[in-house]
Amino acid sequence: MVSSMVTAGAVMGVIGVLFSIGLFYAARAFHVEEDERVELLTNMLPGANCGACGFSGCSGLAQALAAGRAQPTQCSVANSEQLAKIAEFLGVEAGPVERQVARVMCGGTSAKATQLAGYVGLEDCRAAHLIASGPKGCTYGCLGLGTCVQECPFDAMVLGPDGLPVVDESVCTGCGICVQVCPRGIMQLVSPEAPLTVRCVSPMAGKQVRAVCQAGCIACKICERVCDQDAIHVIDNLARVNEELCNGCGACVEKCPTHCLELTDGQVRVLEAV
Amino acid sequence: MRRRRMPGGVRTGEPPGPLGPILSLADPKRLILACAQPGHQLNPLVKKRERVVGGQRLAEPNGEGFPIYAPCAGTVTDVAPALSSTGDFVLAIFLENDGSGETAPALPGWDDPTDPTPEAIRLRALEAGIPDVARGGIALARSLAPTTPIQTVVLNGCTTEPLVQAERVLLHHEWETVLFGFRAAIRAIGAPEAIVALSVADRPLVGTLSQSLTERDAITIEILPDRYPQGLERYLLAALRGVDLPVGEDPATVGFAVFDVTTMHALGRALRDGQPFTHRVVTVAGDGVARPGNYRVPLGMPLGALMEAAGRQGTIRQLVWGGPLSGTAVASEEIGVCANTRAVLAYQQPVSFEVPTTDCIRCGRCIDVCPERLSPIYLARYAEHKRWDEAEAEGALLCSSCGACSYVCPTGRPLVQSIQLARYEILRQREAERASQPKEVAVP
Repeated sequence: MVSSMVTAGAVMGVIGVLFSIGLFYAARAFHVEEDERVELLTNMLPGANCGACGFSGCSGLAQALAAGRAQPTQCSVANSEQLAKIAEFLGVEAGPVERQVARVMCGGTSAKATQLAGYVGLEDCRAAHLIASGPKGCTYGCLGLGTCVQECPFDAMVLGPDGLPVVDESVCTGCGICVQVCPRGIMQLVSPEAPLTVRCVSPMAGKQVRAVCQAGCIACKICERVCDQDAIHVIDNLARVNEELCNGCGACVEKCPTHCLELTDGQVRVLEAV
Repeated sequence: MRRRRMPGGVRTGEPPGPLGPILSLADPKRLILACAQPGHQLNPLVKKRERVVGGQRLAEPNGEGFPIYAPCAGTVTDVAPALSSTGDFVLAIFLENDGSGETAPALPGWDDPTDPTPEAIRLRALEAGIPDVARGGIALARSLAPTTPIQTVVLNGCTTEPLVQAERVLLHHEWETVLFGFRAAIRAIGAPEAIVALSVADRPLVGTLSQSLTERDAITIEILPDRYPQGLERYLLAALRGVDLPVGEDPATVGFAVFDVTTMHALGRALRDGQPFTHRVVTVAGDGVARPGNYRVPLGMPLGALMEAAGRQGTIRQLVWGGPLSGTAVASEEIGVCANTRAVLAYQQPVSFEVPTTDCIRCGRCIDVCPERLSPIYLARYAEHKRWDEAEAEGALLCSSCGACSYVCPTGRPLVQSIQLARYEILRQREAERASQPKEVAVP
């Protein structure tokens, strides 16, 4: 009884020793030189794996950083502290970090924008856009199927009850995924401090915009006339704001006949009501 | 060269024998003539409130393109952007018919297609404003002056899709005009060989056509199976001559020139009768119209007016631009008929995805009918889960959107739409990658 236990133990022990010797040589033979900084850098990055930097996730960017092929600021998700730490670790200048948030540049809610037809098909804005530019009267307006909301890696967006997406600017990291997936180019990255937003992207003339949407920019130029800072101009049928000159006085917002201008008061918009 | 049968496809179920007549319409009250052609916009020659007569030149190309003509006499009410079938707004001429029927004098014609010189044929194709419908609407004059040597010219008479008969009726009732144009096209290109490709359903035509062909013509008639999408150039050339035309390439790259029936009919009319291209035959079908059939429609006729003319009945809830398999729904009746409008289908109930989308039952019918031998269900599934790389590896970019898979799917899944989405996304990502090439910034 005892001897069989000893034999079994001895056999297992010998097998174990043999395998460990084998593994030892295998580890030597197949050893890969790896920059140990990559792992450290991967841990320093936010770990969202959103891919907004253009590399395959955080480890991809870490490899590029370690190899000197990328700048720390290419990560739009990390805050300035994290970036400073990474820059210090790499021994490079972090450079100025400008926080950006995504904003919805369309005010065509389901009540204000004309819907030409119904849509039956894939619940994806890109798919709807491919069918005769979607069912909306305005071919530039938000389709409201929420592809940006689905694709947001940080859950910073929801689809509002009025059919337009809403961005929680306290959560938004400015990664720009929504900008990429929107087939209409309605999502735009701006500084959260930007006081004034033009919620329309249609380059159509006023008459055509009026025909399909009550909230679009009709290029009437009233905003130009009331602005005493010379900060807003209508170019190609669309009001455009010079953010450096705009002081957020709100004179244009009051006068805008279609209310396509929106004042942010320099406050970060947080989702509460929705 | 071994012929290759197209794999898959769906039977069109066209009964052999004569087709109904080409129905004519009273000229509509209003016309919306788009001034956009692939790659550029035309310069309008008329202004608001100007009076024009039928056959008058309305807009001219600046560069490569072709002019457009007024289908009827009337007054220009506006020159402004109008909705197109793709959903874009393009500059258009709005014409109000005054009913006078006044027309501009026709250009001189030729009695025989071999009379005009190749140069004269190309010039007339340009002057008559004829698009090459099969080439996405570029000027036919360009297709008639190929830059690579062309061995064979093909008349594509088997663009059959269920319900769509616009091209077949032209072949049946006005084959002389089509053949006139085709002979002229062969002459302009100077190819040694020519083929008229017909579908099995049009076998009765063979006798009529071959009687009028002479030794001098060097035209052979080929019969292809009654399957959709046999008429797509890639499958057409494989079936005729075993030639492998790569996806997305022009037939000219493999020494072929393929023309569709409408284009050849327009060329025949322009050369023989001196008439510009202002009308085309459109199949109108569906339960939304009381008198379905093949109508000769002036270009620019709004779809709504066409519905009235064909006897609108009930509430039309879905309007399809093109055939039932490859067409797309349009959102407005205020779109003018274009050169590529082969059919307009009107339905009182939306016919696509009528069945609530259930899970795939894995019957494999979509795989059976795919002429490209793809697996639509896997492509659609990758698209659904946004796995674009895998969709590309499965061949999403090879899909020609013929619609056979969606047509046969018993669970009514939007297969083509998913594949189109995958293709859109793959191409967009490629574009984005190209634009951001210097993404890897060197650290100083």
